[in-house]
Amino acid sequence: MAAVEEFYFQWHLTQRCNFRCQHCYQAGDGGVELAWGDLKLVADEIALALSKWKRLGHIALTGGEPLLRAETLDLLDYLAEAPEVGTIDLLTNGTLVDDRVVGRLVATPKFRRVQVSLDGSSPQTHDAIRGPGAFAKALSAIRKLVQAGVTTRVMFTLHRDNVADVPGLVELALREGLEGVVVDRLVPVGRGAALKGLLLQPAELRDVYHDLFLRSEELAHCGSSLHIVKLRTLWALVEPRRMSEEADLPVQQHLGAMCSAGMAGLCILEDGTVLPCRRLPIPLGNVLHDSLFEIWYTSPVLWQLRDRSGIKGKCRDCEYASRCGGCRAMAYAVTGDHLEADPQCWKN
Amino acid sequence: MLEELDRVAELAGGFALWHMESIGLFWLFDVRSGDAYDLNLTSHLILSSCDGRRTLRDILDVLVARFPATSRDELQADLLGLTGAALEAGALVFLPQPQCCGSGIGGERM
Repeated sequence: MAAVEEFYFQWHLTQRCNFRCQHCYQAGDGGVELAWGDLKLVADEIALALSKWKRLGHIALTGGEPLLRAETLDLLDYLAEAPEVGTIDLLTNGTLVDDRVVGRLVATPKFRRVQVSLDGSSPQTHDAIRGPGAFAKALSAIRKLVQAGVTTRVMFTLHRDNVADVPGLVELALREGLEGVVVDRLVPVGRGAALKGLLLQPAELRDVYHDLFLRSEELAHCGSSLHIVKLRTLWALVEPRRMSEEADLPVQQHLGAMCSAGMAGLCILEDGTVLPCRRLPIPLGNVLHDSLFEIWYTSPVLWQLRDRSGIKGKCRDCEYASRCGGCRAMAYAVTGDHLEADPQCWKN
Repeated sequence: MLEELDRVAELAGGFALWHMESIGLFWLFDVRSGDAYDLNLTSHLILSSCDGRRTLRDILDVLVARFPATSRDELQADLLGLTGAALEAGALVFLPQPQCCGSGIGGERM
């Protein structure tokens, strides 16, 4: 039986947050939020689109801090009722995860995983970015979730101020029994636009990815279940065969992935505005006024993302173009042009 | 009576055409129902030429110039077949024709 193709919706239910992280892709914390009735309409619209496209939906609910909205947990239940929805995730800073929340997550059908933002393996690193006490709260949430059997992973936003802490984060994840680690690059948009100076140079990023790859292979070799996520742009440039031979490790064949923006994913903001990706702030329409079909079929920006012939610079004719393509959001944040080459690519 | 080729058509509201020239893919989308139809180059050329100004005869001339190896009769059959099917599917509408003024030519030719 052929695998059902998947489609990803990242749905930001609120801009409100109890943190003011320096690197956040949000610029503000206000904005009009959809009322419960409109949330259900959007959920129905998502289900309709998935049904028509014969795709299995993966929905990630986030914010802001999504648990600041009372409706978030009810929306989990509502989405879970749709046959077209395959899995639901919650992306959170963890501070509001309590026994009641954990109980609801455990009881929700199709709930797959919580992703807690963790920007360092110690309070020194994490709290410097997110504020005093943030690390302790995040760690407490992680332990509560793991203890309850909720699949939990951490998301690390990588930049110059925390790059040295990447190995420590992996060890923390191992120690705490997490399912996975996502190390994603800081994209300087929103509040983070002021942090362009913290972006790693291409060679530095290459070294981080190479070290992560080797650690990932070591863990697999030891039978660890910790998953270091490598399905991101630029990961395709890591050369697994050569690196594994050097390290005398089994070869992992497939690294990297095309970004799903324009291909198999959409982002919905708290007021219904639709973006190709949360880090690529080019509005495509509003799901309250424009159907997802209209947006998906007629947005020139989405067609530019699909039609790789418009990509510029070294990303255009790159040998890895079919499984990388560079991060269009990073190109946009740094150059103002989402079709430009990925400025953090280390390939000559 | 207007000849069939003197009619002027345009894409119906709620339908959109897109193509990716670089990889030779063409589509017609019904943005209301979400239906998507794969097209070939000729079908896309015909439907995208239905702009509410050109007659089917004008479009046939475009096809003849574009595909010189194919006979005019064959291209006309393709044109009328596709526009008829698109009309039936609600993807195309024929515009009302002005009253015949006695010249035998209806509608302004652009």
